[in-house]
Amino acid sequence: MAMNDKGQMILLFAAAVVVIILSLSYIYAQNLIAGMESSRTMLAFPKEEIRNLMEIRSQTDSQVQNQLAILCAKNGWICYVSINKVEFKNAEVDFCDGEGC
Amino acid sequence: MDEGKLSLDLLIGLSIFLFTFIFVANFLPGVFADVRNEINLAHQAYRIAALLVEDPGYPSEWESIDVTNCTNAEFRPGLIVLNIDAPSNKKEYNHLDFNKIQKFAELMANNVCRSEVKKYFGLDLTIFGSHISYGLNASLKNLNGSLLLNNSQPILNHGDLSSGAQLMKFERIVYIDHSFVDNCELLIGDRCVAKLEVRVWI
Amino acid sequence: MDLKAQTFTLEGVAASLLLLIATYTIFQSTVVLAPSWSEFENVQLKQLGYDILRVLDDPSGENTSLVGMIKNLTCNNDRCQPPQEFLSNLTVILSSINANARTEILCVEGGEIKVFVLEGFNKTPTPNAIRVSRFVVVDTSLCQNARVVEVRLTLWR
Repeated sequence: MAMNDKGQMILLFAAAVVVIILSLSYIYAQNLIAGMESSRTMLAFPKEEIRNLMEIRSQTDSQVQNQLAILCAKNGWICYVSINKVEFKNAEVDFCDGEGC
Repeated sequence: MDEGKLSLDLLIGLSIFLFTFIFVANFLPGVFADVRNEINLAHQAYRIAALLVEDPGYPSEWESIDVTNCTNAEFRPGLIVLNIDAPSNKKEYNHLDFNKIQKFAELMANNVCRSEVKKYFGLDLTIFGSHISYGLNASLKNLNGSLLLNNSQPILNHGDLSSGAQLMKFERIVYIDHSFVDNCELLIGDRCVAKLEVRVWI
Repeated sequence: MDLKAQTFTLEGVAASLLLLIATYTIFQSTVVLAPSWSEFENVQLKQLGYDILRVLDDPSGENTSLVGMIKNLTCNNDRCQPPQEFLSNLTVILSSINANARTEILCVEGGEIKVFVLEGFNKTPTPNAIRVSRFVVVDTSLCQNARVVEVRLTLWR
């Protein structure tokens, strides 16, 4: 008895549609991940901290520097602020402005 | 088999499949279409708010632009005070300059200039072949929600008319010299504390 | 009964099941949820927090500014009472953005960090809170020989 393979067209269509759905949802997931990543970057980048350090650089002396280094360390950052040089490091960003950078 | 009759069997099988296919085809766009734009809109709103509140604009005298000549000028609005006399820290972040706000409001009130502003903010999609652009609206309000007034006129409540199903708002807390504001709700020193709301939609 | 005539129906049903199971599997997973959603809410709150600290940091603000507040704190152990103007201003700002806050002042004494909580802003944060901080150069008696403090604001909705 020859196999009746007429109905396999329907299954083939279904399989093709499933492949299309899979590829569309892969692209969609990429879109979502892009949104997630840019939000995470916005949260993680220390824009305001760096500006804060740049703004107080004119008021620093060695005592301020030491205390600032300790306060920064508690937050997981490495800070160095002086009139000539401002440095800020965290796990992702390495910022330096001034002499000796 | 050679008789050319459609069997009932085939019809039933095909109709079950088509029924399911049409259901899935209607369901999918609903999942994909709606959320995607809002992810992008939120970032656009953040970006425009940051350009307004953290940048003095380009060039540094952009507020002297003539509204009748805005298509020939190249500029990017930014609202903060640029203190050129200061030795360092010339940009006074979050400190809005009243003259710049006025010029921005003027530009946004004029249809042609508003398109120019949106173009320089990167909100113009028509260069990519789209027939629509993002909508942009900015307003400066007291913390309790009432518009900031100068000579009984709202200082900033300008832009496209809000519409569109997907709208994202981003708020920033800013300050402006209290001498320019009639109805300041919160004063801290000389600073009238207000909030800038930027709305972007498509 | 002739089972052969049910081939197409079976195939049709199998195809439908395949479509539905595939759609269900894909869209039951977290692909469909938008996790960037709550992230963006945090971005808004965090930026507002930085803005609040910046606006409050007015060198000429006396009791309403950060510097003035730090100089005029009355402290009892690690709890400090800020000036009334500062307290009311910050309360107004926080209620307008619909957020709760915990405000702490950190300073360094002898290599150790001491933390002081402000009365009126001493609630316990929720797990999804965000934290912002600003360094202020000011001489204060909170810590011996302290020249700079960190004002730390924890915000949540």
